Amino acid sequence: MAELNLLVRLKVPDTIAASAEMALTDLLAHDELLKLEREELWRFSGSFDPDELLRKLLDRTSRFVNPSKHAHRLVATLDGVKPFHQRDGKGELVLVTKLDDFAGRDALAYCRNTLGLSGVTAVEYGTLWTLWLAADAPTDAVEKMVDCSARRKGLLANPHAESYRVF
Amino acid sequence: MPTVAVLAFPGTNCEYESLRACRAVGLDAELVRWNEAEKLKNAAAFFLAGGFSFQDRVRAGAIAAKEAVLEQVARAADSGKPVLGICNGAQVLLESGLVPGLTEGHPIEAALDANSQGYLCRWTYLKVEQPERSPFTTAFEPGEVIPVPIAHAEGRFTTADPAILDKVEAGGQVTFRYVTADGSPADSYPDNPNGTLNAIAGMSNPAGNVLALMPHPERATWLRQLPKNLPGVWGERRRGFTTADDPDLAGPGRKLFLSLARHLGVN
Repeated sequence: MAELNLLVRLKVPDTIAASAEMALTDLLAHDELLKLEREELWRFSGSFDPDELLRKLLDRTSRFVNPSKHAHRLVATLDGVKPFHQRDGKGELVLVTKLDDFAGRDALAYCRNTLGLSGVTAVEYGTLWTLWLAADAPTDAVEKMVDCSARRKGLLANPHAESYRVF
Repeated sequence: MPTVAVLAFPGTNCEYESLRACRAVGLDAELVRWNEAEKLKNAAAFFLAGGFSFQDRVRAGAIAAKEAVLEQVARAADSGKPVLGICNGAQVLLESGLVPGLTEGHPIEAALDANSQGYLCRWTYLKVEQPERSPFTTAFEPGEVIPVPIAHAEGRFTTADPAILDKVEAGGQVTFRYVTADGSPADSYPDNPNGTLNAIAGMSNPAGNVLALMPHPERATWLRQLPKNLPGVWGERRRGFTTADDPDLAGPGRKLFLSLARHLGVN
């Protein structure tokens, strides 16, 4: 079973990340958050050569990576994933995925039916957040910002629709 | 006269039609921006209008739910004042924990997640359940079926805890349910347009004074707003409607606002 983890980020300012950062710092008073960044994860599984699949995904469609506005990178496995660049602070990565992954299922159908990539048997979609924290941030700061258990608690994952994994 | 505060966040786009729907039944409705909380002091009821607050960033309704003005809305809800959220307003109410509102302190107990079919803008049929339980439905007959349009990408009621759904059903909190044009259960798309659990289109809190409703009754407040190709009695009425008729003839959604007006002693 082969795997391709494609991480996509905007070249232009990311308004989703900016608004989430505003909500966490200004509305929920998480002063320990210095910067919030976002990448989209497309995780392809199946029987394929990863390099060949990537080439086809980049050449045949702009659905996953639109070169006019996206930059991308590959990671071999998510377990060792690091921030895409360095900046001040401590970079904590959190992957948020839907409990019902309609985007992944739509992408799978697109790969197989439209692009003819029959070797792809599963596609998962998620959002990889990088939370840049102050050095003295509390140890539970990430969970408090992610786990949206109440109006004044958390934002990035509603546990009734999403799950998350801290790396 | 009691005032209905129609709340608008950045990205709300249904505030003016919401104001018109309230005023059509004699309510005194005032537009209140999210950063004008001081205007809410005298509000007798709150109406979170539809649209795309904060452009649905992160999740629909998620950021608006964190705004300070929701603190006042929550206090009003707890005091028994009517609070209505339509479409994006409904998403804000769920992200605020005000609906289903089973537990004290308003933890988030559910989500309005992505539709199974993506963004949808179409007419649906709703059955009104236990209309006596909510100040927004008392003018309806039990089991009344009405056509109301939807326009959303995230309206699929879901919860990770099946016990919550059981409590919502047992408590009679489902106020509107998607059905077929003849009122039969909507088992699948397109009658259940978004794959929502138990075909739930609108849900109240246990007390009934807070209603989160995904379809847009303000877009079905006048008969002239209906398309002529609707099946059923409302379609027949619309096809018989001419420019010589009164342009203010009521559409199927008006009873929701009429219910609120009666509750507030206006109409």
